[in-house]
Amino acid sequence: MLDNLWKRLLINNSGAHGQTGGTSAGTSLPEQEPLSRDLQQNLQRIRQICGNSPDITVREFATPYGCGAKLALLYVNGLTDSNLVNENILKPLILAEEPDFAPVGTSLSAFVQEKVLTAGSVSEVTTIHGLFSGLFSGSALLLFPGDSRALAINAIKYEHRGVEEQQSQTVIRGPKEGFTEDLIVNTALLRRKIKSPHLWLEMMQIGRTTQTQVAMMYLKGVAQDDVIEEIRRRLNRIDTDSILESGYIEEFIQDTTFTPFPTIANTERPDAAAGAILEGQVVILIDGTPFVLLAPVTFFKFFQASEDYYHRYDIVTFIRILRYVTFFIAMLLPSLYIAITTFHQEMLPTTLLVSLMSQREGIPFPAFVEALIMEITFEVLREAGVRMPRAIGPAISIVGALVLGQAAVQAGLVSAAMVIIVSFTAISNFVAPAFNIAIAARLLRFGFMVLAATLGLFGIMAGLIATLIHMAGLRSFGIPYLMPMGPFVPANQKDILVRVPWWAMRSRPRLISNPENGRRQQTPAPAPDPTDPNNP
Amino acid sequence: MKEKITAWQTVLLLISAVLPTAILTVPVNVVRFARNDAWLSILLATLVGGIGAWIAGSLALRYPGLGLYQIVDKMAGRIAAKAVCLIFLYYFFIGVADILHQYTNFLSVTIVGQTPIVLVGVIALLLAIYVVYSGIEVMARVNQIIIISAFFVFAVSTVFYFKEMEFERLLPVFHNSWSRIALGAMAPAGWLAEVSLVLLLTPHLRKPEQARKAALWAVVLSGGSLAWTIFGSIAVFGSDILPLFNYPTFNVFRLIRLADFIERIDALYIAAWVGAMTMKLSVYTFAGVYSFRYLFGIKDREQGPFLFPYAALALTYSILSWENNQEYLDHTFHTSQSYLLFYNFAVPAVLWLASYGFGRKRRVCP
Repeated sequence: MLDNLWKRLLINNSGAHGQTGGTSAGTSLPEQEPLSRDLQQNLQRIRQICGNSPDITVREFATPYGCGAKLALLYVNGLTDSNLVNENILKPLILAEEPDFAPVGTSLSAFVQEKVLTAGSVSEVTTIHGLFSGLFSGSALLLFPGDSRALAINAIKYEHRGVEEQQSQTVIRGPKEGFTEDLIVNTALLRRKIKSPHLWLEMMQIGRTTQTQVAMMYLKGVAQDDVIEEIRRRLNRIDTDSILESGYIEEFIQDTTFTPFPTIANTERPDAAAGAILEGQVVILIDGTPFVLLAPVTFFKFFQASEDYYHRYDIVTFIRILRYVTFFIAMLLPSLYIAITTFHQEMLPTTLLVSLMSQREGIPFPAFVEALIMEITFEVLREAGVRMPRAIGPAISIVGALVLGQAAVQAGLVSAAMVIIVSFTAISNFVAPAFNIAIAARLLRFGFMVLAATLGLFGIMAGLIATLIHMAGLRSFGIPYLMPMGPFVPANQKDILVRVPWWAMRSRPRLISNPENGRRQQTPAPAPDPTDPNNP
Repeated sequence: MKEKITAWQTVLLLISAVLPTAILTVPVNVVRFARNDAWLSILLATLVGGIGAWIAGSLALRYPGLGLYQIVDKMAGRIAAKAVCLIFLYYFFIGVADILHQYTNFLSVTIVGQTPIVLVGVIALLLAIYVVYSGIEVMARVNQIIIISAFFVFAVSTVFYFKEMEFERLLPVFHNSWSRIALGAMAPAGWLAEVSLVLLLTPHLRKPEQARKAALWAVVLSGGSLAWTIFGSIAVFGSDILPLFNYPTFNVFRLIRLADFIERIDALYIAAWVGAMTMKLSVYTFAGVYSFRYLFGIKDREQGPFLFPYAALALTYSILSWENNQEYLDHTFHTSQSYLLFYNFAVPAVLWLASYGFGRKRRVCP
């Protein structure tokens, strides 16, 4: 019922939306316009389309082949390796000895492609669109006179950030490499981690103006085939102007838009991505951003960090439980405080109650307003801390929080207990390993505060049940969101609340990976050797 | 795509259809008749409920994969099916009103006394129809999590009031006559027989041949929990005081006091109970809406517009039907017993016997 309303709203709005419309002359090329046979006409058309941009270099030269044919070479300065262009394309063509047989019958371009060019990857181009596509992917384009077939020689080389330590998900133990903005480097990093021929790669280009390269990587036979097909189908369905970051793709292909809970994970670490692939997930890499997407995911996957698998199982189990508890604290602590101090004072031990009430004595606001003020202040401080320059950022946010909090308490605007609650909530929020699940807690917090202020503990309980119902109905590419708990699968409990030692993890998690390929390993548990004569 | 639930999820759904109201008020009438042998009454009731579950399960097995109304349709035609559907619709509707009344009553007595009853009822029903709207798979998943958590709360808390228990209060055993024990067993038998709701869930079972097993397990588990609860409650309070309470098990929970600072944790009981009662409300709302849909031939996708009016009507009935608590108690222990036993025991038994008579047999699963 509501669904239909939403659908109608969305259909009506997408036509007016600037992002997906726009077939004006500046933004897309007719796909099928072929190259003409006349070289000069081709060059003129190219100059017309790209407006004589000086970084697209046009080099016209003559070659002895084809009885002194005049060829043209196009490449973009800064995207191509000039050494390769000079040595492997221009040199063999210009400095060729007069051949004692002229290529008759075979076209010049086929001859040059087969016998002359000493560059690695050469392909043919027959449309204007293909020419520009190759040009901006770092290829050098060779145009022949009287031929509507051009050659694209891959000479890609450009400045990019090297593989260095990534900043967003740091670890104490484990590899520190992070993905970079270059798609080829990223796929190579993954291939280094998984040296299996079943690691398949699928490339596609998404975005009419940006023509961004997007790649899907998965382990064939381990990942479920219908999930792979569904992801491929959704990626091919995207029709938009630009893809600048993985977040764009995430919003286009996710299952449900109107939920605070993320249904696609992202990571900057190759080892986390490799771990996901080995469990049967699909990794989506996007050229231009180091953040790759992982799908499908369940709610509990957001609480698993890659570092969990490098430490011992006992400390990891403790930290896992801590993460779940702090998620609930981050979501519920201010609302619990509001509910208890406003409606259910009898729940507190008497001494604590007296202390809390004496603190709230002179405060002019009810608990809800007080909590709201402090929470909003803290959100402002947090956002300001993100944008400030690296040098003064931490100092200002710490001083700001301390000074603001302290001054507010002394001015009698908020109680000290409230400052403690808000800061503890904020700190608990940072414990979640993935940023996008912490956002869910952050957003829901305000809803729970309103419920607590109106209906007390009953309101919080009703809100929790409603959130649970909402989560139980979410799916991520067909996998239920609350997977090993929602439909309770005893076999998958090994890695959720606790992490059992590696020798006990015998099978891959069901419902994400292919059921036929369920066995992961069969190492026996460590035990003293019974045949050893020295061991009693 | 038809939504499917597993056998274990069915067991938990049936438990949540029976247990939450029973666990709150069961001692009152049972103890009034059977006194300190009330736990024996519960065991007897479990037996009777088990028979009812067995009959309903057998009926489900004779027509695997078919719901209650489809079975009647197969046996006696469309008109008979719609007639049965109509009377069951009435039963489920009254059931929703009944549960809602108890829900709002308990909450207004314990924590939200100043809030108008309507608001509490509205929120409870909003949650219930959200679940029904999301589908039975979602209901089964949410139920799994909530019932197991609630069970945990009740089970763990038993440990904490262990020291208040004096088992001498349960002696002498078998002191009361069998007639008293049987009288005490009537109310719980009616409640436990509600597991015949499995007949509405069979179209969604992943393996329909497990319907009977699921119903039996549900009766055994619910009966066992009830027996233990009564056992503990009598041990704590004694059979004289216990029936005087309105909410005896709640008052047992309130005695928990640990280490001087964990005390008065009634809110935990209320939270667990609210969760479980919401699920019971959802199950009955689901049953009622399903019957309504069958009666008028409305498809699952189109059920949206009918949920709000159904809920509003149920809310009105729940507020206006009983003027005070005495009337409601009278309803629970006299009126509802008769119609519970009729709908959950008599109707499946008649249908089961009739299926041997003139119903066409399909594959019979052992």
